[in-house]
Amino acid sequence: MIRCKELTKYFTGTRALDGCSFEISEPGITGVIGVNGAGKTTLFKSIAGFLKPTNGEVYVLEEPAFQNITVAQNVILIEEGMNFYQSGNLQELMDTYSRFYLNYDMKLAKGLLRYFNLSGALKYDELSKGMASTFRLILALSARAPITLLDEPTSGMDPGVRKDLYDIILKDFIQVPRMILISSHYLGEMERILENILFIHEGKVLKHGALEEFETLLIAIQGAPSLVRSLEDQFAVYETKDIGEGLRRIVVEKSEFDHSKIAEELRASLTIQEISPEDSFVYLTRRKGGGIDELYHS
Amino acid sequence: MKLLEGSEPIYIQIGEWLENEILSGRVKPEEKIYSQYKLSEIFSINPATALKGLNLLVEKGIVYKKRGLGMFISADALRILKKEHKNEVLTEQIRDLVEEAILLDVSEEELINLLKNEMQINMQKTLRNKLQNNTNKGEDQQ
Repeated sequence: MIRCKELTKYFTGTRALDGCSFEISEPGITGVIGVNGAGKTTLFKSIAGFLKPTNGEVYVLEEPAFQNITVAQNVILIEEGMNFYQSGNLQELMDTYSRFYLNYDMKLAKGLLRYFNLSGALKYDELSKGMASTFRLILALSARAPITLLDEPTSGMDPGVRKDLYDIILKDFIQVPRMILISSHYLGEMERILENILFIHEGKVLKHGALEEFETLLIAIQGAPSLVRSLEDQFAVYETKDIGEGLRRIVVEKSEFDHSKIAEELRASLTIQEISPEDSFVYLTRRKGGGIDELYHS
Repeated sequence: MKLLEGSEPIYIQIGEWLENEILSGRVKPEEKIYSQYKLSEIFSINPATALKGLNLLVEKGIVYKKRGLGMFISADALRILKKEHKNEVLTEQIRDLVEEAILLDVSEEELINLLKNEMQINMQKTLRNKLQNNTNKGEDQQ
């Protein structure tokens, strides 16, 4: 179980997390989505007990997470900037982790190393960026920790390897169901392996729910300009665009549109299109005010 | 069929794929349907999403749960599917067809003739395939 209540973390001059609240109580793969600087890494470090909240609380397995040994043994966090001691080769690093994590599966770890053509004698700090990411993921999955936090696990990887790694995360989850959180600034090919999405923006949870809820979040409405303009005051509009002479397109929330009192015959003259989750994130995190087009308007 | 490429939600694509498997006869009434884990493996998708796809068919009565045994295709599956596809898929395609015909100034009569023509070509094709199959069988036996 992971529970954050009004979790807030200030660093000098910045508010990395700002009243972040959510709860995950079942095994499942959750995608933690947000633009760079949204607070994803700070959130993961807080759950792992590395950071002390400025305000609010973070509970893991019913215990406050910060510097808690029970939490530490049940949570594994991997991220690009993590420090391993310098002289360690990959086998030694795995040995260290296997002593700390009680369920560590060394057979799986060795199998995955072989699969990716990584020798245990290699030094971690001599690996390429993509190879280092692969090794960190092997370490994290082999730990078989009840709570597995993967911070941008595929950064620096080739697209082919990236697909492979998502398949491995999925297979590993099916074999040993547990809470796996994967952060990324974009959804892309990760979408298919997710059950839930935690959408973070400016240190807050913008939305937390099943993948399907994000697939019906925003819609684009297209129709005659005069008609579409008349709708614009009724909804929060995320984008407006004129397409040629006779067509205007606006992006609004689907639930708002569905619950509005627009006459049937008006609805029938509009074309409605669902917006993909990926594009929805872009609309929802975009700066308020006019679009790029207005900046470049001649 | 293309899967997991379109903009439609994954669980809906899974539901549609399963319906096509049943309609095409690759899986038959009273047989066990793919489990959520099998689907998860085939398409590399989260098992929860696969289950949501299966549940779409349960809601329509195309698939039913046998306690402890998994999900099975109901005896009525083909009738339900054909009726639904006739009502929705075919009607929608005909609507598009009519719109296109009007844009191109194709008259009602012309459109009906085109349809009849297409039906005939299809029937001849089916007949040819049947004959071909019979000939092949005959050769096999010799």
